[in-house]
Amino acid sequence: MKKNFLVKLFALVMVMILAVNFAGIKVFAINDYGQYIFDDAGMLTQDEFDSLNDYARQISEYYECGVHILTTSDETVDEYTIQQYSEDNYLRYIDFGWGEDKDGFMLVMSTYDRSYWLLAYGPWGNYALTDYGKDEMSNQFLDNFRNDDWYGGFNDYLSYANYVLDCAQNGQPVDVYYDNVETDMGPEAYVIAAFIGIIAAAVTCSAYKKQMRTAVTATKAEEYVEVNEIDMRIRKDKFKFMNRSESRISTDKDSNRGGTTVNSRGFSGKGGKY
Amino acid sequence: MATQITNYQCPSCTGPLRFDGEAGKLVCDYCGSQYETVEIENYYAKKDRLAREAFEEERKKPQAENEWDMSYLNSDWGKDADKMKAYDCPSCGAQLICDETTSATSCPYCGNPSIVPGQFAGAFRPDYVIPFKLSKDHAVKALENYYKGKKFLPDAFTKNNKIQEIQGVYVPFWLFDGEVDADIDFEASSTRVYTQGDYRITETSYYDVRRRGTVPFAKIPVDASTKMPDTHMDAVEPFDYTELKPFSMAYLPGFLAERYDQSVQRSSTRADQRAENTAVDIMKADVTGYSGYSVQNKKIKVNRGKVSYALMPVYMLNTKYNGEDYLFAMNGQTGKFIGNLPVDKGKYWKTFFGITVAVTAVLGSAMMFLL
Repeated sequence: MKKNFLVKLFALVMVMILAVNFAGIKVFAINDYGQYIFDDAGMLTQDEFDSLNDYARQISEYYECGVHILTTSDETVDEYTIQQYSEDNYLRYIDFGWGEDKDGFMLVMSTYDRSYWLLAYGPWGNYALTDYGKDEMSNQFLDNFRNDDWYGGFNDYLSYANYVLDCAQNGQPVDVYYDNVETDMGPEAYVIAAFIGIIAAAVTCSAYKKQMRTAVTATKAEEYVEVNEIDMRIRKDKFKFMNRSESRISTDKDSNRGGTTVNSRGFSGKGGKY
Repeated sequence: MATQITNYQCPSCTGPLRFDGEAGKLVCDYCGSQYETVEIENYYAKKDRLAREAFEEERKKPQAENEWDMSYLNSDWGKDADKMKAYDCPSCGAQLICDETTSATSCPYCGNPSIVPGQFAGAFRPDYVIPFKLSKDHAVKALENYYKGKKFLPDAFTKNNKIQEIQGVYVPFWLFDGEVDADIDFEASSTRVYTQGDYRITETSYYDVRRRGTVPFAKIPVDASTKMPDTHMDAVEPFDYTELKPFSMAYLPGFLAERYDQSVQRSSTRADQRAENTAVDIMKADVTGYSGYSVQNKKIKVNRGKVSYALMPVYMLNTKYNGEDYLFAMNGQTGKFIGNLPVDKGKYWKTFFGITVAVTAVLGSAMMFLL
C-alpha cells in the first residue's frame, strides 16, 4: 500500500514536472509571459519599466514582431563588442523575437561606455526596419539619451517602432524613397512650381508676341530649289576611330541606398555612442 | 502762324516735318531735328537722282565674270511707253507707274495724299507679272482676321484705328536664277550603347564625311524697292510661279506699279545669302545615319545666272497708332497677310503674371498633396 502510494506520488510528480516543463517551453516560445524589456543596468524606475513594457507588449502583439530593450552595465560591453553581445543575446534567449522566425527589433544600451546597438532580425523584422529606418529611429532617441532621459528615449524608440511597423504593414516600409517624398516636398514644391510657372509664362507670352510680328526677313530659299536637278557629286563617309567607355550600372540599392543590409547571421543593425 | 507740311519726312527718324514759321525751318516734333527748306529739297532731289543713277548703272555695266546675266532685261517699252503715266511721292521718294487709265491719289507706302505726276522714263520693262487674284475686300477681311486671336493687341488699336488707304501695288522684284556649288566636310559621330554584365558600354565612332553637290535655284525673289521694307516683302512670299505671265499692260489698269530703285547688284547679295544657306541645309540633310555632326570645312560658290524683272501683286495697308506708322501687306495672289502690330504692355504683364500664379498654385498644390 505504502509502496503503491510512493509510486503514485512519484508518477504524479513526474507528470507535474513534465507538464510544467512542457508548459514552460510553450510559454517561452510565444513570449506569452509578457517581458519585452530587460533593464539589467537599472536605468528605469518600476513605474517606468511597467509603462514601457506594457507599450512594447502591445506593439509586439499587434504587429507580431518583438520590440525589445536590453540595458547592461557589463564592463566587457563597449562600442567594439556591443554588436556581438546584442546578437548573441538575441539568439541565445528565447525571450527575444516573435514566432518561429524570431522577428523583432532590439535596442541594447551599455552604460559602461555609453554605446548602443539597434538591431533587427527575421524576415519581417528586417523588412520593417530598413537601414534608413534605423538612422531615423536613432535620431528619435539619441537626443534624450544624451540628456540622460532614459524613459523619454525608450518611449521614442517604441513610438518609432510602432510607426515603422505600421508603414511596413501598409506595404511601404520607412525607407529613403518613401520618406524623402513625404518629408521633402514641403514649401519647396511651390518654389519649383513657381520656377516652372515663370518658364511657362515666358514661353506662352513669347509665342503670343511672335504672332504680333509676322514681317520677318527670309534667310532661306527652299521654295526656289529645282529639287529634281540637285546633283550630289560626292558622298564620302570614312571611319576614323572609335571611343569606348564603360560605366557600372547602378542598381536600386546603389542609387538610393534603400532596403536593409543583413549580415551572415541574419541581423541588420547600427550603433554608436550616446 | 505755323503751316503744316506733311509731304516731307525727317531724314533722321522718318517722322513728319512741320514748317515752323517763327524759326523759318522745317522741324521734326519726334526727334527735334531742324532743317533748312533748301536742305530738305536737296536731300529729296539727291534721293531721286540716286534712283535714276542706279538704273543707268545697271544698263551700262559690262558683264563681268560670274556676274548676274542681265542681258534679258530691256528698257524698250515700245508703244506701251505712250500709255504709261508716272507719279513721284515727295514724302518717301517712291516712283510709281501706272497705265493711262489709272489715277494715283496717294502713296501706297507712306499714305501721303500729295503725290505728283512725274516723267515716265528710264525703267526696265518687266519680264513677268503675276496678276492680282484677290480684291480689296479680301484685304479688308484679311486684316480683320489678322487682328483676331492677338492677345496683346491694344484695344484702342482696333477700336480707333482706321486703315487710311488700301492700295493694290505691283511691287518690283528681281528674280535670280543660279546654282550653288557646295563642298562641305563634316565630322560625324554615331553612338552605340549596350550592356555587358553590370556595365553599360558606350561606343562612339567618328567619321570624316564629305558632301559635294550643285543645288540649282530658279527665280529667288528679292524686292527691288528701297521704299518697301525687305521684311514685309520676304514675308508675303511665296508667290505661285505657275501663274507667272509675260508682262502685259493688260494687267495694270486699276493698280499702281512701283518702279524699281534698287540695283541688281545690291539686291543680289540677299539672294546669294538665301541660296547659300539653303544649299548648306541640303548638304547637311544628306548626312544621315549618324547621331550628330559638325561642319569642319565649307566651300560655297554661287554660280550666278539669269536675272528677270517681275511685278508681284501686293496690297498695302497703312495706318497710324500713337504717332507711329504701321504697314501691312497682303499677297495679292495667295492672300497671305503680314505686318507688325503694337504690343499692349499691360496685357503682356497681366498674362505673364496670370500664367505664373496659376501654374504655381495648381502645380505647387499638386506636388504638395500628391507626391
